[in-house]
Amino acid sequence: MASTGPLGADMLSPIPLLVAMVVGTRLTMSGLFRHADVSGLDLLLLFVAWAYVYVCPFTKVEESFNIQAAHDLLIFGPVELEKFDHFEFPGVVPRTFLGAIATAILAAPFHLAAAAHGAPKIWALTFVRASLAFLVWVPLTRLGRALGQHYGSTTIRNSFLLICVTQFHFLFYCSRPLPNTFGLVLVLWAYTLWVQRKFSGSVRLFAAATLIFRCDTLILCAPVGVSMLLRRQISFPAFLWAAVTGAAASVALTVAVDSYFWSRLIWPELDVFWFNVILNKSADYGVQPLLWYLTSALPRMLLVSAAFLGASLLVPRRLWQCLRGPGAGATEPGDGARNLSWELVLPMIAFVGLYSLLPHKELRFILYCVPALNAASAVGFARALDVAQTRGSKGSSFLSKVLAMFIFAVRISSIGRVEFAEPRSLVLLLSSHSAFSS
Amino acid sequence: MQGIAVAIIANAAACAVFVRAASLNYPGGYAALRLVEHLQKSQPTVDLINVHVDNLAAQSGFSRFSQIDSLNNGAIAVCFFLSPNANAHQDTDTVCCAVLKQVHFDKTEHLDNPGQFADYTHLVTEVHAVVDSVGATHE
Repeated sequence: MASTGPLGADMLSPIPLLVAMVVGTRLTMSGLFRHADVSGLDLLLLFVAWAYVYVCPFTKVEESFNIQAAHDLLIFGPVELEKFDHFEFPGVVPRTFLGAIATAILAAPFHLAAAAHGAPKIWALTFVRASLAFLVWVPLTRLGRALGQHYGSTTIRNSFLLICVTQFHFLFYCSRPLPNTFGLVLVLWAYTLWVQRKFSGSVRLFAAATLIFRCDTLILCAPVGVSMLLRRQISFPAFLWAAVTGAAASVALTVAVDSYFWSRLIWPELDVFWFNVILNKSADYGVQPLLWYLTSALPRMLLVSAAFLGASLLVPRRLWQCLRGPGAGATEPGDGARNLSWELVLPMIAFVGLYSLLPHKELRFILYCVPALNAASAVGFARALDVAQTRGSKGSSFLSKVLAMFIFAVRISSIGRVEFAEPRSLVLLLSSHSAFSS
Repeated sequence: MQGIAVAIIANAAACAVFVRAASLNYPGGYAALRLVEHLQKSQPTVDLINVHVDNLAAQSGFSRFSQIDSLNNGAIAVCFFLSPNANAHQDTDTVCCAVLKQVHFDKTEHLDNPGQFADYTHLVTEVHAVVDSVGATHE
């Protein structure tokens, strides 16, 4: 390994690499997968997520297990287990290695290429987080595509992407190696299948997210499952079969892989479940008011887009149809029996409501609800766009281009200033008996 | 259309504020960068560099990705970067072996007694903690 440059210099260098990764992704997608259907807005999402990685390249304590695991997998490989961090500094509860393995595999080619050219090891951190953002981004774009196909409207697809890209927390969290983020990858695939009306596959993925990455995803699975069953979208035997097969495959995978890495027979999420639910230690980490998610977390995550969520939902006809099941009614595109807004939002209300009962609250716990809420908001957003356009404002398409440029510029301008972010509360000191010449 | 434009611009502006705030949230990560930079500039005469990383630093950005196993001095790094020809690379390798120093990182918590810090050559730690310990040592 060669020397790092002055502070900030080696943080600047990944920019061309990230740009190359964007271009490479575009080429790979169009070359290998002819039907991938990746739009410019899709790529903007990936670029913004990676810009967040660039501005905030480090990780916090909640991300500790996964980032150390990804480091050990990348640097030592999956054989020198005795050097791994989880043996040197064992944490309170075991976690699964599957997420770290997936990101490490994606990041490995970039890390090896950079290391071969003498890049400092810290670059690998950026590659790992960029890989995770990619893993979340793929199903996110598929969800947008599924929405567009369901409603037969590119406007709704683009509205969904535009809403996602202008909210901060979701794209920021999608590169943070939290167990919730790895769960989010599977949950986004599950949402996509849900919108595509492929309910068995959706149930399997919800089961996998719960049993491999976050056992608390059960709080999301339950309302979604109840919704599917009550709407008779899936029969009870079929639901049970999907849940059991999904669960069996997930548990087999996590037990097989994690027993190797932990050197004992283990199913990590079962231990997490035991610690958090049966022993219920979570209140040790702090207690928030009952409505904290509603009054603090959701407004911050949704921002002004909450207005469009209201526009989608506050149509009495839609709520009526959602509760009464598909019946005769309006057939205009993006409306009527095919409208998914309430069907997606009702389980999310139950999810956030149930989670509010737990005294300890964190924003990341309810991250799953954001894409579903945005999928509903997109309908209201697209409707607002249509109304605005039929009123015949000539500058509208020009304005939308200016908007896209503006969003881009805001992100770019906030990137340049990161190197002035000095550590505020930490200092580096030589100890008093320093043996240093300088 | 104006309403939509305002909504999107407001969201984007909020994002800029959020990302700025978030970027100030990783003091441990930046401390690690400065430590490595410092180690490579100064030329330590001890063979084993023993760094203590405190709890706050470990929680706010100091991961294994920030750690280095060994240290070669600054002159070699410059040589490595500035000379594209094969000869210089060979020289680099030879010198490299001669001055390699081991770097060890330790995250032990609850070091209350100032004497426990004696084995470390470098500390990455919170300001008030250091002021307290150094004050105690000088009394």
